[in-house]
Amino acid sequence: MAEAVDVLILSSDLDFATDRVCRELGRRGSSFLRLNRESLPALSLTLDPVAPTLRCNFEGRNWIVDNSLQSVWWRVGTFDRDISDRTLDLQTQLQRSQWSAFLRSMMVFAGAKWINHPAATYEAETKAVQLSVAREVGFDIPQTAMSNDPVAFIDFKPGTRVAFKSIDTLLLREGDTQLFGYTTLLEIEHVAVHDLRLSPATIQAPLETKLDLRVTVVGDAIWCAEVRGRGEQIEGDWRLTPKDELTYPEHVLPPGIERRCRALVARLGLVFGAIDLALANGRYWFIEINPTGEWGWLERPEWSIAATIAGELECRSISSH
Amino acid sequence: MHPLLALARRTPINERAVRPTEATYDFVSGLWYGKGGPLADNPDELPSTKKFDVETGEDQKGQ
Repeated sequence: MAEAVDVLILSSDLDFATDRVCRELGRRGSSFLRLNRESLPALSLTLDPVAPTLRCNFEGRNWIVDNSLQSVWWRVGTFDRDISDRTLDLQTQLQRSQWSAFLRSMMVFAGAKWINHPAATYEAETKAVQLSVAREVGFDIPQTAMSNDPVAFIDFKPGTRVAFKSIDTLLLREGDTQLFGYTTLLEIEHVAVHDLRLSPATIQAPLETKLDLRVTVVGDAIWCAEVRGRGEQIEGDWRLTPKDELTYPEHVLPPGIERRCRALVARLGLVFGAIDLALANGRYWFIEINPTGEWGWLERPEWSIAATIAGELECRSISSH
Repeated sequence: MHPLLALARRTPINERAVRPTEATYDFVSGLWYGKGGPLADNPDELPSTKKFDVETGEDQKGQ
């Protein structure tokens, strides 16, 4: 006898934040099935894409996913950025490509509530789209250019400071090391160089004195945390600050900014969104939104993001704090 | 060299380091268990993120 699945979780066994969601779903007695991309070969999985049904067997126990599925928590890859590693053997290449497509195939369960839908995630991961939609919903946006043309900045005076960053997450591998691109504040003459032609990059007006804010939206619920280093505002990319120096006190957003955050998430077709804002010169500037952003580091008893996500997956809305 | 490459921060890859030690994963409950029960119940034991990029504390952005 197969157990009917109400909530399908597509994740990684190293996505520990998903543990928190599963714990909440378990407490609520919800019928859920968590499939981790690393462990899929240990399962017996059969998808009928037309019915549609997904049958899963593990150690003699059976589950069935069908049109009664209520929701999907999508925590696996949407973009494949890991394209630089040529050392993968054939079996690994096969498994990566085919399991990835198999998981995307769960989109046949179109009647379920997706958090977030892969197609929406794909679009929302595109920084240019984010900036455009954020402006449409009323956010202030730093003046931005995405360009590979050093001549485009010829009118900038030498010494003009800019915020320089990649067009997309920059995560590269070389041998046993990885390279990660952070936002860097520097002078335009260090950016508008000949080799800029090799690849486009993002050049923005800098926010030199700013307070970093992380806004997490789940359905109608919203939380905002300041990101401080040793209690102070952080110059440049806060991710370069040692973690033991970071604190995340609550920040109360003006109602109008909250409305813009919710509107942005909705306009991008998302349910969940991790939004980075910067408070500078009395204005809330939109930096970016991450539809697959981490939130476990913000979890606390009085701010249970996990419980709210579990509530959304159960299709019951929980009001925020 | 492109300025994005010149400015990128280089760190050693150590993916295995993020795996919980002395814990096992239970498929049915979707939870890692340690000696004291689900790691999800003990914030000190459960890493807050995947931390594939050990420096940023963020994930691989949907990877």
